[in-house]
Amino acid sequence: MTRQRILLVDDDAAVLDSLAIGLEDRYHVLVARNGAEALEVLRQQSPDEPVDAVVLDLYMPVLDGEGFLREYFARGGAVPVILASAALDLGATADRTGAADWLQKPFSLRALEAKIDRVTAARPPAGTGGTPPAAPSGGTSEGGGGGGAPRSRRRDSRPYEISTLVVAEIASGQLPVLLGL
Amino acid sequence: MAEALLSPAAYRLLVEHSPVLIWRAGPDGRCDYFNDTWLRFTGRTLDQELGERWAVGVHPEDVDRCLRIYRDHFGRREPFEMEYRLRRHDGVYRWIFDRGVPVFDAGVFVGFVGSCIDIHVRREAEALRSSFLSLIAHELRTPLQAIHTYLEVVQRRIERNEALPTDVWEKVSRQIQRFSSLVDDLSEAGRVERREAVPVERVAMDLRPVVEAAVRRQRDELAALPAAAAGRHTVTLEVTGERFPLLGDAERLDRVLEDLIGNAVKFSPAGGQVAVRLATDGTRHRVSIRDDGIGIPQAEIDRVAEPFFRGSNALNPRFPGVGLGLALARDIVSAHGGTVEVESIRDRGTTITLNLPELLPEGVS
Repeated sequence: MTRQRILLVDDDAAVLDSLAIGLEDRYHVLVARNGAEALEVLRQQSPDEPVDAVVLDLYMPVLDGEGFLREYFARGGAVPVILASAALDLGATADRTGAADWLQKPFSLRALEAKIDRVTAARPPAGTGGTPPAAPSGGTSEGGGGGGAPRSRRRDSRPYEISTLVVAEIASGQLPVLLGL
Repeated sequence: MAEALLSPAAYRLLVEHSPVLIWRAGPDGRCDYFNDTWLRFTGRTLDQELGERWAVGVHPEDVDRCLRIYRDHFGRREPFEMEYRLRRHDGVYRWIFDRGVPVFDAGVFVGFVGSCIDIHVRREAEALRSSFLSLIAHELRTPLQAIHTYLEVVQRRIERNEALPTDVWEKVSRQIQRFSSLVDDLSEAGRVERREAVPVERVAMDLRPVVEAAVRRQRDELAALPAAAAGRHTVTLEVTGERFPLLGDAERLDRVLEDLIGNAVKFSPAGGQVAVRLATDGTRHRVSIRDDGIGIPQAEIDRVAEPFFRGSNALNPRFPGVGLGLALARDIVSAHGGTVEVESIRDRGTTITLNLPELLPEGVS
């Protein structure tokens, strides 16, 4: 069975590094440092290797957690999101924004894993032929007149400037380098 | 009895010119008198305030609560105390503390008199304190989270007889240092708030190596962080002059520079420029730190060195910190006989300049 893919979003290098190291024993971990980078990671996810859950900080530069949730759900995103923040009233924030669950910092790795397992169990297993959340609308208008044109993989092959993003896969061992740790 | 001590005219003068805003209402609850201080505060005429017209000046968010308390206590003829925002003559709403008491003449209820004082400054201080507390809690939780997680990982690896993550102890120790320096800030905050003088040492020193070291540390720190898409901040240093002798506390001044250069980076966008300049005219040394960041709203510049004060455009916790750096800088610099100048244009940037007098050690000419 393939490991579940978890996207960690936090602007604090130490929080990101420690959680990534902690989770990598059980999950395939991706990281982003703000909401904008997280949206980019989710947009680029391949249908064969979808992200199973997002662990999201709230206060971040560029695009904060709430901004991310608004934007992501407006795009039809369906991956469950767990708020993980030092902010107060996370329960109310989760209810308001549609986040699946929440944890207030400081929390234990064990608690986070339990939340991840809970929110991912509530969804059909990913990557087993079931249809991962297909990109809704959006892409279809790109072709203009080509009504019957087969839906291409264009979204995935678009030359994103991945180098400008700090999106590292822990497995590649790049994260500590990128974080300067 | 007041009448026994003062003539009615003297008594009236006292009421009219007391710094307290005074009103009176008849037995029907309608106000029939406001003193001169009230009318000067609101900038309205007596006629505009009479009856329940005064309620027009109460902040829309407070007026319902205010009238409810007023009518309720009036009906029960019981004294009340309430706080609400009242519009001043210049259109600014100020927090007011209003105390109303029923008046009886030979046992017959004749109405209420009330006195109000402006408690805006106190309310603002309370708001600052509360935002400080939530900021510090947020700031403390972050390194705590990292420490917690690293240690949990260590525990698991030990239980499974596996190698520990690379540099894990160093990482933990860095987060503990970060936590400790926040705790230091907290105790420093108490001192700054009580306006106690900062103890500074007066040792012959040169300002240049202190400035250079602070700039170097900031550069190292930036180099260690992941660069955002817009690039890293750059910190430049321009030194005009050779020697910058001073009787001072190198450790304290180092902290000031670290905070101010750190602020310049924090409040400017990725890829921003922070320019540090050191110059001297022989008697006074000037260190200026200029950034191209979010700036300080014009109306708030005078308050920016108050402890816990944070610009209204900097309250989002994505700007970490608790609003102490500049307050501390001001205290430390003034303990050296110097001054701190703040120039800022909102959305354009801020320049903080420290003026430090060169003081010769006693007995040395």
